[in-house]
Formats: sequence, C-alpha cells, structure tokens
Amino acid sequence: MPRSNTAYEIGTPWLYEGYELVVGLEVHTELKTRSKLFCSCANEFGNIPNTNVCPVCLGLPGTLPVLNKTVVELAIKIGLALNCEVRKSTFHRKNYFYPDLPKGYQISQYDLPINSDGYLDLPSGHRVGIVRAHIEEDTGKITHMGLSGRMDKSAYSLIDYNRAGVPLTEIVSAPDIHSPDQAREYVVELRGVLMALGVSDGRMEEGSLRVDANVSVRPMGSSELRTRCEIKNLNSLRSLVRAIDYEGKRHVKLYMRDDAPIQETRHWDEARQRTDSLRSKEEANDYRYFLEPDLKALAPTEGFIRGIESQIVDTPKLKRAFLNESLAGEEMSDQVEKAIDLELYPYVKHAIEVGVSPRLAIARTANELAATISDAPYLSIERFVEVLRLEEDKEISPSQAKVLLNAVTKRDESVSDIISALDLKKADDGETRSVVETVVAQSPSEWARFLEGQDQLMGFFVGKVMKLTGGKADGSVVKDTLLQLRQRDS
Amino acid sequence: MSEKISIDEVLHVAALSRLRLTPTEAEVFARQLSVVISHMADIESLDLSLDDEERYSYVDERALRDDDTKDSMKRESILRGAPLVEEYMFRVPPILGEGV
Amino acid sequence: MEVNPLDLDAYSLSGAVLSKEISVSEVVRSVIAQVELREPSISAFLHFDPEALLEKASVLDEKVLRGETVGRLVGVPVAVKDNMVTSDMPTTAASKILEGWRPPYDATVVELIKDAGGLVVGKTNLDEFAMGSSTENSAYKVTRNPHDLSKVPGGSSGGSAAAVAARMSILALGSDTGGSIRQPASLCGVVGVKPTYGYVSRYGLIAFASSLDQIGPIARTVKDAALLLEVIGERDPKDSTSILGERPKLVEREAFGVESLRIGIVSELVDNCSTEVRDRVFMAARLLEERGAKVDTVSAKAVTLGLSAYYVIAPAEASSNLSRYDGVRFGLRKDGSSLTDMFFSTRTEGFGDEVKRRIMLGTYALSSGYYDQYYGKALATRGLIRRQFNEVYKDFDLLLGPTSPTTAFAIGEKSNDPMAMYMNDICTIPSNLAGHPAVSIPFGLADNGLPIGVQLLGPDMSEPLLFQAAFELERLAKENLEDARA
Repeated sequence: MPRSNTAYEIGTPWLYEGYELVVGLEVHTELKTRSKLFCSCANEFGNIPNTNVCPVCLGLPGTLPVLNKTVVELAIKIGLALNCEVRKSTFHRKNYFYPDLPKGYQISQYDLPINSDGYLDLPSGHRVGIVRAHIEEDTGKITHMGLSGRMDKSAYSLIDYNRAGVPLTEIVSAPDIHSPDQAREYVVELRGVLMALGVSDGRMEEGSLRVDANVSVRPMGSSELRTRCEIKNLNSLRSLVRAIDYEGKRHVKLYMRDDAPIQETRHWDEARQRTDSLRSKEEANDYRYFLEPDLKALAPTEGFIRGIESQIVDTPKLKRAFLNESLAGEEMSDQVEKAIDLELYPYVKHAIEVGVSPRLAIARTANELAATISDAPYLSIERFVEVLRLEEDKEISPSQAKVLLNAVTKRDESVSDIISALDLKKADDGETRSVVETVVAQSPSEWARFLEGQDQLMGFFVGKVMKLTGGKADGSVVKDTLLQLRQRDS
Repeated sequence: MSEKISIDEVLHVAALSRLRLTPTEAEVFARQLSVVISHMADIESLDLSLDDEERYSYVDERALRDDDTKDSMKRESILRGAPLVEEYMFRVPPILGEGV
Repeated sequence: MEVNPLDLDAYSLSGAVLSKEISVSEVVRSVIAQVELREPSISAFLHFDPEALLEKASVLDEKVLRGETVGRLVGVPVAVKDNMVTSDMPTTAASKILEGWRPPYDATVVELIKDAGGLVVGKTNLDEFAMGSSTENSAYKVTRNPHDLSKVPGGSSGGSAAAVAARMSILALGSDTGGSIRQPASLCGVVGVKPTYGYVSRYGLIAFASSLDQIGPIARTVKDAALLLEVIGERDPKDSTSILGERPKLVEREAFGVESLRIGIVSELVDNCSTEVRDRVFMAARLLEERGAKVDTVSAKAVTLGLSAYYVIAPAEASSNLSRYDGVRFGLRKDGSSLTDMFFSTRTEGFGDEVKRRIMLGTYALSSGYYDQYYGKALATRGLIRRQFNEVYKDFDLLLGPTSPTTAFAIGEKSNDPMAMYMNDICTIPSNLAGHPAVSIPFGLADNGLPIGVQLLGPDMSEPLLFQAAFELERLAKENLEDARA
C-alpha cells in the first residue's frame, strides 16, 4: 500500500489535541455463489446491463423470494471464522424508495442476525469485537447521465439491475478501532479471512468488498461514546485511512469550537480529500422494519453448523497458528505473516506436511517464492518441495537453491534438467577441500591472522571459496575445513 | 372529540408513502383513519406478548433453494413492460439530493 | 338432446370432452354466448377475448382428437381473478397503476390449470389490489350481484363469484386475505374455499398482505371446488411459505358424511349477524345433528379482536408490498421534474382512495413511535386468536358460523364509510389470522331473495374434513331448502 502523505503517520496511535478516535466499521462483502440470493439468476455483473435479471430480482408484481441455501452456509462460515454465535435468525424488510431497490424494500436481517457477538484478532494483537454478520441483498446500479456525471447535477439516470439481489454479508464491528492504521489492519485481516474462506474475492476497488466507517472522537481516557458520522464511498484502503483521519480531526475541531458534529451520513470526496454531508431526507431512518412475511425464519441445526465448521481450515488465524506451532517456538513472525498469503500458503503448508523443515519452508516461501509467484507459470507444489528437499539434503547449497527455485517457476523442464543446464550440482567435499587449500595458500597474511585467532576472517575465506566454486560449495563444509586446517597449522 | 390521527400525521405518512394529498383529501383521510384507529382501542390495551416459537415459523432445510442458475429472462421481454428505456437500462428523472 | 355445457359440473364436462361428446370449441361458444347475455348487466370481467378463446379451444380440441394426454380439467372454463398474473392476458389488479401491463410470466396456479387442460376464460374484476368487500373499489368497473343487479357481489373476488353465479364460467379462482373468497361466494350463492395458508402457491398472486393471502376455488358445487383445489393445491418451490409434501385427496370425501363429527358453533361469530343469517346457521347445525354430528356452542372471545388485528397487519404488509409501484420498471408512470416528483405523481394518480387509505394506515402502524402500540399488539393478538382456536379444536373437529353478517348490500351503501365496510369481514378474518382453512357453502335464500352462506372452519390442513362436512351441508340445503334447487 502506498504510504499516506497526510499528517497521520501509518503505524502510530492517533491522538489529536487530546482526543482519541472511536471507529466501528461496516463491511459489506458480496458472496461468491453461482446464483443470486432469492432467485436463480447468475451472480455475475459488470457486463451487459439487465441480462441477469428475472421477474423475482426485478420485483415484478406477484414474485416471491426463495432463499439460496449456499448463502446460508457461507454466512455461517463467516460467522464461525469470526468467532460468532450462530443462531436462529429472521429476515426483515427495510422500507425506502430508491430506484435501485426494485421492491421498495431491502430484505435484510434486523433484530435477529444469523451471526452475532464475535471478534477478530489482528496480527498486532488488538482484538476487535464483531457485533453481527448478517445476510442481505444488494441493490442495482445507477448511472447518472449528462452534465458532469455527478449525481446532483445529472440530467437523468439509468438503472441496471444485474447486481440487484446479489447476496451480501454485512459485518459490523464494535467501536473498538482507535486509529486509521488499525482500521486498515482490520480490513486487511478481515479480507484475508473472507478470501481464505472462499466466500469473497475481496476486491475493494470493484466494490465486491465495501467499507463504511462510523467515526467519533472522545477525550483520551474517557469511555463515553459521542455522536458518530457514517462515512461512505471508501473505495480503497488509502481512502479509508485518510477519511477516518480527516473525519476524526473534523470532529475534534468542532468540539474545540464548542460546537459538535450531528449524526449523519457523509461521503468521502476522493478528489478533494474531504468528507461531505449528504443532504438527509426529512423522514430519514424511518425504515419501518417488519418481519418479511414471504420468508420463514432460519434455525440451522447443530449438525448443519458443525458440517460447515469442518470445512473451515485456512483462516489467517489458523494459518498463523499452524506455522507457529510447526516452528516450535522459533521466532519468524515477519516471514510467517508473508507466508499466510492466500496464494503462498498452500506451498508452505504442503512442504511442512510432507516433512520439510518448517524453518526452511517458511523462509523460502516468504522470501524467494513470494518474489516470484506473480510470474510462475511452471510452479507446482511438487516442484517446490523437490527443490526444498535438495537443499535440505545438502544436494545443493542455499544460494543454489534460491537460483534453482526461481528457474523452476519459469522453465518448462524437469528439476534435474534445470540443475544440469545451470550446472547447479553442489561441489563434493574433496573438491571443496582442495579449493579451500588453494585459497589459504593464496592469502598467507590473512591466514596467519586467522591462526592468531581473528575469527572474523572466516567470512573472508568462505567468500573466496564461494566465488571460486561459483556458489557450489556448501558453506558449512567450507567452515569445517577451515577449522580443521587451523588445527593442523597451529 | 380530538382525532386519533391529525392532519399533520396524515401528511407525514403520505409523504413516507410517496402520496400527494390535497388539503381536502388530507382532512377526509384524517377523519376516516381516526375512526378506524379508534376501533383498535381493543387491542391497544391488551397486555400480550409472543414467544419466539409462536412468532416465527422456521424453514425446513429442504425448502431452501440449491445454488443453481437458470437462464435469466430475455432482456427484451423484461424491458418491454418498462415505461422508459435507454441503452437497455431503465431511465428515471434526475435524482436531486435524494440520496439514501 | 341439446345440453348446455355450462349446466354441467366440471367433472361431467371434462368427461364429456374426453369422450368427445362435446368439443372444447362448443364449450367456448356457450361461454361466449352466456357472457354476451349476462356480462353487460353484471360486469364481472376485466378481460375477455372471445377470439383468443376460440383459438385456444381449437388447440385443445386437436390435442383431444390426437389422443394426447390432457388433464383433469380438460375443456373446463376457469375465470381467474385479475390479481393473478397471466402471460397471455393483461393483469391489472383492478388498478390504474397496472393498466396495460403484460406480465412476462404465469402464476403457478395458472400454470397448473393450463397443465390440467383447463381453459382460462378471462380475468375477473376485484376491489383494487383486493382491498375491499364489495368490488366497488375497482378502478375500471362496478360488478353487480347476479341475484339482484342493485346489490354488490361482495368482494374482493366479486368478479369471480359473479361470473360463476351467472354461469359465465364453471370454475373461478379467487384470493382470500380477510374473506375475499368466502364473502362474495356467500353473497352470490356459490361455494368458496380459503385453504390452509401455504396450501396453494402464492407465486404470481399480486400481493396484498403476504402473511394472510391465499388463493382458493369458487364453484357452483362442493365437488367442483374440491376438484379445482386438488388441481391447484401443490407444493411450489417458488413460494417459501408453500407447505411441504403431498396434499390430501378431497373429491373422495363426497360420501363420507358427518357421523360423530364434533362441530362447534362459535357464539362470538353468530352474535354480530342479522337474525335471518343467524337462524340459518342454527338450522344448518340442527340438520347436521340429525345426520349424526355432535353439535355444541362454544366461546372463543379472541375472535372479536380479529378485526382490529387484521386492519393493522394487512395494511402494514400492503404498504410495503405496494412500494414497488414506482413507475420505474413496469406499469404506469407519470413523469416529473425529479425522481421524487415522478414517484409522487405516479403513485398519487395510479392508486385509488381505498388503496391510499390502507397504505397510509399501514405506514402509520409501522412507523417509529407507533410500531409497538399497533403492529406489535396486532401480532400478539394474532397469536392469541390462533392459540384460542387451537384450544377449541381440542374439543371440536370443525366450527360452524355465518360467512357474512348480512346478505348482499346495495351498491353505494357503504362506500363512504370505511369502517362499516370493514365490519363485513368480521366472520371471515379470524381464519386468515390463524392461517386456518374455511369454506362458505350456499344455504338457501333470505326473504329478500338473496343468498345466505354458512361457513365451516377447521384447523390447519383439515381440508378433507371440511369438504366432508361441506358435501353434507350441500345435500342438506338441497333437501331442506326449496330455493337452493333453483
């Protein structure tokens, strides 16, 4: 992520004129299903307008919703991964008029959501509470036409209902977030969870993951909750960070003038880097919720829930736990954090499972594999493990292993053919010994100082040997030989 | 007798329902709705509640829909019934400060 | 011998078509002739297209000639209330807001009728969006009672009941939210059935109050009503509230009788009726007793609260169900300078007064500040009514009462007094609130020559027992009330 150039420094706590931030996030994620939430239209959009629509998702008179079973499963999966209580739930209608809302109401979950009372632990160790994670339907898309293309100046608008009825899960956090960076960390971790579960593709820019921020501030150390504003149109992690920072400071400035913010929805203006008030309607917030009579309540059985639980194997938290347990106390947290990436993790996991040293597997995954995976047409888990095994069995040196790993991802040849082609076979011990002797003979003064006990010269000799062998020598064999020679000569 | 529902309240619910009323209509509706609402005194005073089992009927898992797709409708037959269409989309007048 | 096909019951008619004694085209010609004769004075139909009907008839005739499989309703005319969508006929729900709309799909019940070889003869008039008890609230026409043209046919399925009573169709579909099948059936002297909630699919029924709406048959005889309900009563995966599993057989109940059936007369239901109607209910009870039923009176106080609960719940759901009529995707649009302006103009011009009244009432009941006082209380009352009914059904198999407190009233008599109009539903509403089935059976005429209906009520899925008793009541009426033979 590009570094923010606002006054707020990434990675630091947020404090402004003695006030701290209180932020809760609402994350909407589109669920990766084949069909929509309440009808059998394909859950695909972005292409030709109004092609994935039917009487149901267009809200034509007489139509009725029928709940997609997979949506229930995916929502429960999310809830379990976020340590929620999965419970009996109901659907409500949220009534308001807007042309992207075909029925004049959105079917959502209101007082009884399918998941509630969970939490998400961030890599930094901070725990953010999850108030609820519920099922609801998406709306259509509006294009404002004419003039500037801005909503309030358009000549007319056009509506495409391909997205109407796409299943969403809305994940509402507790107001446990206290800096823009923590908000970013939360969204990154949550996105990792959703992608690992296979329920979302996590693309924020395309809108398949949408974040709204509820922002307020309070005097540092206080536990009160002051008036909050909901910030919408946060299309990237960068706008999330900047908008929260901006909004927090706006509140502080108001309080310092003996003024106060009003509870409202605000819009992040990316071009002007500020939040603006959306003119609120007179009857705002009177959504007249009531139980959706066209759907029955959900009461997933314990067996149903346990079946879904057993499918969850790879959340970031579980991945981290697996790698750290394999390391048995060894500290590699930076590399572990890299290795739990969605694409990388299957490699490191498999390598460890088939017996490769966790330390080696994690190091090669977090460093070399991470650098090459975006362009690795010939990479497979088997070839990756083959290279690691060669290194572990000291058939090749670590520096050769790095070269080989990169070549294996790019060349359509067997690993052994690549080794021959690149002449990557490690030097045998006898060969190494004779090179060491040559180097020692060539550097009499350094050798004399080494004999006197200047151990730091070890590196000098190892480097020379490596250079002469083209990296084929095994560093540890070189060191052993040098020590043997010192014993002989002194 | 004071009306159960005032003209202002009628105008408020009419606005929520996107209905325009003339002053005469608002007066007539206020009077008629007041009569109806007065009749509801019999349940207003009840001290009743429902338990969850009574309030909700739960779906049988078999009644949920399998996540399979069916062909959507031909766009033409959907758009045929639409009042105003442009570029295969439904056209509406400008949305002036009416964000949700 | 020249037989008018419209004099036959559906059973005999489909048999005659199958055995090629009568062609479907002949049936259709009789329907057209009868419509030409009666429709100008009755105004039961919103859509009736003789040419299209003749075409459909010849297609069916060819099928019969080729010996193709045709269903149990082959060649039988079925009039469909115009709040059920049809892909080959306009569907308006008697509202200006849907004028000219051609639905791109068929309601499940319409598909089932077509699959059974039935002939959808036309779309019948109703109170706009089924909101009313007289069919005077239609935006298009006022339907008249075939027994007395100065009287209403009842509502909201007034067009369907009048079409069957005037023999312009043999069968008809109605929808019943608070009595909209049974009350017009009673006022027009025909049989009307509101099945258990979830018995018949609501897919394609233009929603009024989703938790109360149920489609059911209207017919001249109990047997025809049973046949039509057997055809349309099927589990539908497109309706989440559709009951799972097979529906029971009903026609076979014709000869079961009422021996040792325990039947209760709910005193709260008969209390509010005209003397004549009440006397007829007690007469029906006495006759059932003579046939071996055990009859007793019973009190269910909660049913008196039904009207209030209903007039909160139904408008609340309606206010939400009718939000989709916004001029964007289908139906009427009255353009405006802004989106909001367009919404207001379209809905203000598109909806009639009764619809507006109920939308506002429902919006009020759901709006913040009033929810608990009205909607919450109404839901609790609904639970109480259901509980009390189920308590009563521990001692009784079925209940007996009037369908409507009076016989048909005059056109215009109650149209300016919403509360007086709402009171018509007092005997029918409790079944909708409880989700239970009920049947209205014609039981002779009153002194003014207008039909009186009696109502049988039962618990969830008691349709077989209800029909068993309805068959008996139909026989008793024929044997004991001379005018019922007319």
